[in-house]
Amino acid sequence: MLATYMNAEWIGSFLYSIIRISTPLIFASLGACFTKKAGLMNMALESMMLTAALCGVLCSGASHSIFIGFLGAVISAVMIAGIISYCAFFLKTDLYLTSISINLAAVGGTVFVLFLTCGQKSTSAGVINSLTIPQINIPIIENIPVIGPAISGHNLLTYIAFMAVGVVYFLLNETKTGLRIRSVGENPQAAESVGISVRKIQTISFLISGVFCGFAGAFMSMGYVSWFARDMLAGRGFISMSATNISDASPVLSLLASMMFGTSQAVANALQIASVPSEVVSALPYITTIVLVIVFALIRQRREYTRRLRLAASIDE
Amino acid sequence: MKKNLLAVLMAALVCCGLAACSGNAEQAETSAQTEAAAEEEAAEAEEENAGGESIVFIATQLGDMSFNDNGWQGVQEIGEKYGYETRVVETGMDSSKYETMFLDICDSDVNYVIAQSGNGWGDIVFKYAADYPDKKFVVFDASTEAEVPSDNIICVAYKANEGSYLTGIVCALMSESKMIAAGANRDNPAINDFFTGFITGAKEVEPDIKVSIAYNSVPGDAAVMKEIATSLYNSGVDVMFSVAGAAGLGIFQSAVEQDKLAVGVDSDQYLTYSNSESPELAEVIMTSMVKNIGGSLITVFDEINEGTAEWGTLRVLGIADGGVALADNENYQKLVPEDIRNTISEYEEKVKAGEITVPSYYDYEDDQEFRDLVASVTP
Repeated sequence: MLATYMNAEWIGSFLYSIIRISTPLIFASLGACFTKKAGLMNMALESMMLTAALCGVLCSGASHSIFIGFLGAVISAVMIAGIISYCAFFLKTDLYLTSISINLAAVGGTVFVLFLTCGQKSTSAGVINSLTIPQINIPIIENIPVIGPAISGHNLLTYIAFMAVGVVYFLLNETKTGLRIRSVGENPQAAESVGISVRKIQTISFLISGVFCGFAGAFMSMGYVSWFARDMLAGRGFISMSATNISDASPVLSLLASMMFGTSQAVANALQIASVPSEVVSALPYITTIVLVIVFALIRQRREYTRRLRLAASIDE
Repeated sequence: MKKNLLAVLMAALVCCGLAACSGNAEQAETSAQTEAAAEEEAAEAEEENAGGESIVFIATQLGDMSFNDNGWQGVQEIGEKYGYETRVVETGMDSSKYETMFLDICDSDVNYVIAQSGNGWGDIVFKYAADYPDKKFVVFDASTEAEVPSDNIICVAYKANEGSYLTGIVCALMSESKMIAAGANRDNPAINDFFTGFITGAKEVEPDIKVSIAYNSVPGDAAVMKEIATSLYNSGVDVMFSVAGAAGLGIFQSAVEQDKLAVGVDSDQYLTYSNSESPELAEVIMTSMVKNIGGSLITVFDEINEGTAEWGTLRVLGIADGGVALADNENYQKLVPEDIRNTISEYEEKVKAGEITVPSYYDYEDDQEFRDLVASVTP
């Protein structure tokens, strides 16, 4: 059944869809790398992205400028990150409870704002004439069969997502802020003792996380689709969070894990069309999650085991 | 100082949270506005209906520019016509809350409750209606096989298979590649009844037609639906039937990007989108399989007010009763050539006259029979 679809054109568009589906996951999981390195789990990715998606539509619709729409998306996500940071690090509320309540508030809050601005509660399509971020065709490469259709013609933000992996790696490993973030994550007391303000660093990690979620949200409503819809993130924030966790906050592994999730979703979509029972297909992305978690955990355990062996051997000497 | 700020923040959170949970605050506002407008017009009618009876319409979410909006429009018209106080309750998609929500509604001061049958609402109404003998319930979009358990319920069913049969014919005739598709949110009998009619119709006029059917891997997610539609269009499909409610938006946008055609569902989606800020979406919707939800509810209340309504019954509305139809609008006239339109009319007449009986999913012995039908046209 699936075989009839298996031609070069189809494979090209299948690979294309993997990359497109993965884009928001990549952004969000990169954002979560910062907080994870600072020793905190960012559970509010979902609400940051959702708010950004709404603000992207509202700002671009009102201003008729893609840039202002994009800027609005990023700023709104950073504001959410700011609220969470202020509550959790300065007022000492429980970070996870705060994140959960912000997530819940964002689902209803975005619908509420949408209703206030345009009287619709389900989607902004047809009500707000919002803009989309342009797609980029890469010259030369676009003419290569299979690879061309797969990697050319993506949204500008998709290319930024892949480039961002390098930027995140650089920020975390080569800059002073990155070093401080990691040291706070490793041992907050030690960092405090040498004069690093832990809560400042944690706040910074959340704000950076917010910037990346802003990118992801803007991609969702200004690239992936051209509208905002109620609860449109549909759990992508949590998938990204697990991508970061299973890769232990390494930017490159986060990228790979996000792509794995993207692939399983793309496969689910393809199988859906090939009339495989839909119950099986719907479970696929979640099965992939569990398998990935186990595989990564095994690898980590292995590594830890050999490290201890080596340590023991060196003590013996 | 800090404490004050925290208090304000928490208050804001609680407010948003409340809005999230019920969404009722917003609805009260809308219905208040519509009521104010309706009240003047209905002033005379209200004198006749001095009891000030009220109707609650249960919608999963308004603004889908399809199913729910269609029904709510009808209910508002009923309110204006007979002077009922109308109210809408949006329930969201979390079905675990439905049962308590329904009981809350029934315990409130309301005379008529109108609910859709889908998403489990039919079962809930059937389960509790007998406990509220002084309330009346109308369940629309019920299964054509539904057995009405209590005599304070009227069920309305639409022969989706008949409407989809015509959709299948128009799609098959309009397709150049002779590959068509249909997309829906969930794999359930109501949806499969659409597909049964759709495939049968397509096979009727093009015996060698290839039909792909797809269920959304994340029900209700328009972005995923767009992904599925795009890959179907890429595989050679050139006409696609959306049975996906609000997620159908994904199909329409994909059709715009790929320069292909689509068919809407439940209400005339061409009209909805052509009057909106995104008229380009309307251009690809060559017709829609319209369920006359609003109209059928009005008929029910006409009968209630005339005293001729038969409670405890199921009424099944097909093409002949005006329950389902293909939307005939300027885009249909523009995109579909006249000879194809004539063919459609011929088939429509035949179904009306009873010369053609469209098979229904509910008539099948078991699910396998439907799967065999699907397999016979799978590319």
